[in-house]
Amino acid sequence: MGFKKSQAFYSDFIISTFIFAVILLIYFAYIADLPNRDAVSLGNLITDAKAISSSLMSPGQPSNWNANNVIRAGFVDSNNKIDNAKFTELNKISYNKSKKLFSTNYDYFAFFANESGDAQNIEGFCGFGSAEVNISYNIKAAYYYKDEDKLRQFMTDAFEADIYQYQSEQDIDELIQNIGNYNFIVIESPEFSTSTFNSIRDDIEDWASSGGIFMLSARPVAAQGRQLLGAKFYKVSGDAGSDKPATVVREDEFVAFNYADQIIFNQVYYIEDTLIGSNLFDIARLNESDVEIEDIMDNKIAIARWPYGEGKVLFFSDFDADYLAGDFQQALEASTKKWIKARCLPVDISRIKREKLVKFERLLVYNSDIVKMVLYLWQ
Amino acid sequence: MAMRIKDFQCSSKLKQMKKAVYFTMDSIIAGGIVLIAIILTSSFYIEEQSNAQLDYLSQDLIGVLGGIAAKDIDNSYIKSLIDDGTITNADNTILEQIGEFWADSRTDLANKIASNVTDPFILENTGFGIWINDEVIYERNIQIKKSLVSNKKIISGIAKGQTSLNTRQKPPTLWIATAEARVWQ
Repeated sequence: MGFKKSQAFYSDFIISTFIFAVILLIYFAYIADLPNRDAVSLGNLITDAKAISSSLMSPGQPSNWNANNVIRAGFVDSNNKIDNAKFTELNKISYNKSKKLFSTNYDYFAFFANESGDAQNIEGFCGFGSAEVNISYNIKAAYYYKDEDKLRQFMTDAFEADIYQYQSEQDIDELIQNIGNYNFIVIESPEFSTSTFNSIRDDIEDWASSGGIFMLSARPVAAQGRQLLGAKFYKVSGDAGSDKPATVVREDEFVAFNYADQIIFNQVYYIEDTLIGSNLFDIARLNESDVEIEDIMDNKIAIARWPYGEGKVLFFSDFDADYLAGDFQQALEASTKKWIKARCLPVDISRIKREKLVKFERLLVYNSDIVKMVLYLWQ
Repeated sequence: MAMRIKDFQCSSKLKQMKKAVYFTMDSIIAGGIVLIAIILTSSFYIEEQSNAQLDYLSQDLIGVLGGIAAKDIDNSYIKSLIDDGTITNADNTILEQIGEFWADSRTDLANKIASNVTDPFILENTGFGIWINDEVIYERNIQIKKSLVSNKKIISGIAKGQTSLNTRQKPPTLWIATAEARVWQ
């Protein structure tokens, strides 16, 4: 009886020792292999991060590359300065195409930080790369539209704007009541009645003069020559339905159209300067019957920007147009981002799904500032 | 009596079973601890930082300082030096200006420019410094623990002890100095 007892005891002990030994073996096998397994993938990530940062910090190829002919995507000249035009072109390239250009299978995101470590707006962009990283501007925006809503999606996606839609003349009152909450307001083809316009004009002008950024297409009121924010607004009479070409007469640091390029507006409106004076920056003028750009220089203004008190105003004849040298909508959106110079909110990478992450930092010069480019690459 | 023997047998089996349960539970608990250790090891495993970052940083420091002119940089300290006439040639790059101050034996100004422009951009755990002809201009006081990377650039037209005015009157290739950025961890 005693023999049987001790037999049962030892078999149980041996089994439990065996189980423990197996687990111990698994543990040591796993621990010994851990650095090797991680070193391979981490090494690949570092190699790719080095290649991507070197590419970005180069002038790129060909020397005057654009989004269509790019072979090597780089936007930094030999003095470590950002080439703003090339950086804007880089942001036109789709994410998947950029990964092919960088020859990487990993996901990436890059942004810039100023000397305080805050995300820096570079040419209207708070960063570029994977959409998994949420980037947004530190700006409160509103968008009001009536019949056309060309910028609605953009305003929602880029600025998380509050959207106001015309259903009755009173709908603008809600926006006006909240106007003090906004830094940036876009109104697309409103054509208010004269009485509505008269009731809101002072509010808009007060808001703009105290630092508001106002963007408008068409005219504020369905009547000719009404004054708002220092300009009078008109609609080209007679052939409202037909397309009208305009020519870019001045290249602007904010508005992404090239000198002498043609823009064909769907609806044609223009402004006349009444109180702006030399601060008016005309960007495009209607061709009318002229062909030579020298003659067009004096024609009606189809795109312009000007300061108003502490704020600023940007006028477009129409947000619906064809830009013969490129994509009008893309240029309009890029211009808007650049023009408002909004501060970027901190970049948050906590939401990205990754096993391993590599961070690379590079120093470079943007206009008159030293900035740090932070590149994340992950698996 | 028979009942008592039976009771004894039962309690003996029970003890034996308890012992068996004790050892099996023991191995399962031990195994559980090992598994938890594996999970924690995986999640807290950190790979040492690559030297590539230091390499690029030293390269970029020299590139940035040598690429932007004093008149172009948005820096209040440098602007004040231009405004009060301390910087006489605002077309100098930051590196050239540091070199000129060094040549004029005004290393305190060179030091302040170097620290003012670069310090905010370098991580606190990273050491770095600027040297000209092996003479320290600015150095962040951090011990070298792992590795040091250096990058050099030649500045022409300056020599120790020559005034800025003389320097600019000479052909720029007559004198040269070597500016060096060292970065370490």
